[in-house]
Amino acid sequence: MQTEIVTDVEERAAEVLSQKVLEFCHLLRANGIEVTAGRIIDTFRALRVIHLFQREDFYTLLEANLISHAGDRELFQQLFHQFWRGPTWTTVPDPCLPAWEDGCTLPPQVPQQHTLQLEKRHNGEPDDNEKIQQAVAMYSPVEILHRKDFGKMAEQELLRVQRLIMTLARQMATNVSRRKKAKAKAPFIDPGRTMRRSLRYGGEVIELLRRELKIGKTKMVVLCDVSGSMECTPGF
Amino acid sequence: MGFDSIETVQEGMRAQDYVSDRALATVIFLAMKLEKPILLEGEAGVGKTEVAKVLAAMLGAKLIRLQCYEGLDVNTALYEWNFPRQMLHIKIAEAATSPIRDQIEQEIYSMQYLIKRPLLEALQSGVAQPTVLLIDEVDRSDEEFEAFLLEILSDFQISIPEIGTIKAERLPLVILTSNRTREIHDALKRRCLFHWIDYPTFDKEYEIVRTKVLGIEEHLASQVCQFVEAMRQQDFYKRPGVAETLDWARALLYLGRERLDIPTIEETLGCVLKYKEDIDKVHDDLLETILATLRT
Repeated sequence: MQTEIVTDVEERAAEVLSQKVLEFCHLLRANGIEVTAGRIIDTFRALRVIHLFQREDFYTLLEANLISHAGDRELFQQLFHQFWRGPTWTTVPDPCLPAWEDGCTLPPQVPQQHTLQLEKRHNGEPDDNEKIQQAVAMYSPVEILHRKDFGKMAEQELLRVQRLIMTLARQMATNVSRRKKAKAKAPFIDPGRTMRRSLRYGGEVIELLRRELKIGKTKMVVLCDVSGSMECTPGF
Repeated sequence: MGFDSIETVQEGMRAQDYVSDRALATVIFLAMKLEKPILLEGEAGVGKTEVAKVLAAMLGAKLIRLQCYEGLDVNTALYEWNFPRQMLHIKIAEAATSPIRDQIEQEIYSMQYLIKRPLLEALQSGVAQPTVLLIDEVDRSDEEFEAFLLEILSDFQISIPEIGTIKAERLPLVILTSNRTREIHDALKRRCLFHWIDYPTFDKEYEIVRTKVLGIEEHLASQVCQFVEAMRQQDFYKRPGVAETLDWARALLYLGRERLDIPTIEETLGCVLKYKEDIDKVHDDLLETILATLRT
């Protein structure tokens, strides 16, 4: 009897934990961290591997599986400590732990009405800013960033801008020209050099010489407008 | 690859003189159990590459290293046909009487004319001995190569048109390292367990120095670690990592110094800072300030 109850409790605890982990994944997503279904599956696989763990192990497990950008670590840490701050007895009915001999049964599982946002940091009511945000019908990060003062950007926004710039920079830095240059490990065979080299071996083509496309130098024109009409934009 | 708990991983690493925190041991434990690659990121010199070496030693595994660089391609990373040898074979076959065309073709596209590069070697390493595949500084490779890695790390198999599909009989433990000179593509990151190796705390670094630099006095080791910790707070182009701390501690030991003072630091500053601009920023006032804050 006691073994059955223990098994039930374990199953129930695992169920509650799974549900909470899933909620946490959704919370990360809601806060801009890319958490794919594959990562969630991997997290659950990892949870099966570590049965008895410390809080530190649990943190590492979730971090290793759910984030992949060093810039997301701080946000992850904040959300983790806010979300996993301890048992939430009032909202989640946990398995009963009173005396085993009284044959108590597990309470029925109450369907959770948990929103995926964190409980509001200001004890309940949304503040004015949040009301304004809720009133906005559409959201486009690109449009917002077009008019953003760099000096007032949050770290997450700076990271997004950094990624955009890096994408642009890579495209510009890898602009392929039509010209080719000799290179040992390259996709294109250089017939002229190959034939010339073959003369060393009595006309036998022993070695295939290759060439690759050159990276063209991107020419940039940077226009710096310092006229009065630009006063409204931030100074650097 | 058998370690049955996080503690045993941590102890195993400690036995190889690698002072690891529990988080790193957890990630390694998970990687071994889930058979997933690990992506280690962190500043240069914090011990990312060392993790792979230590793991190989711990597991008695063969370490195969692929050093990434700009322009690294499949031929250099996976396999290449030995073209001069193939040509030679054809010539010999032609000189022989009545060569059979199909047979020659079959022969020159067989495994003996294939030059195995690190990735193929890792896939083909046998069941008997485990393999640790270190793909070092993946951020230095091109995006095309990343896409190719993605394919390899998903299925651990490759197709060579002339030979067929080669699948790993035993999955290697894969460690990718990145210094974040650029962001790795998300698709590749998703295949890996992510772990950030930060600069160590004073206690951890002190333990590392005492473990790795045999014969160093407690007082000097403590001073070195505190000094490096203070230097990391400065605005340098390249902050000193653990590798620099160890180099410096060894240098001081060989020079027979027992404590830090301004002349000693100035003489050996090249062990800690590797850029002229950074060395130029260090002046006597800064050194005095830092030295004054060192605990005994």
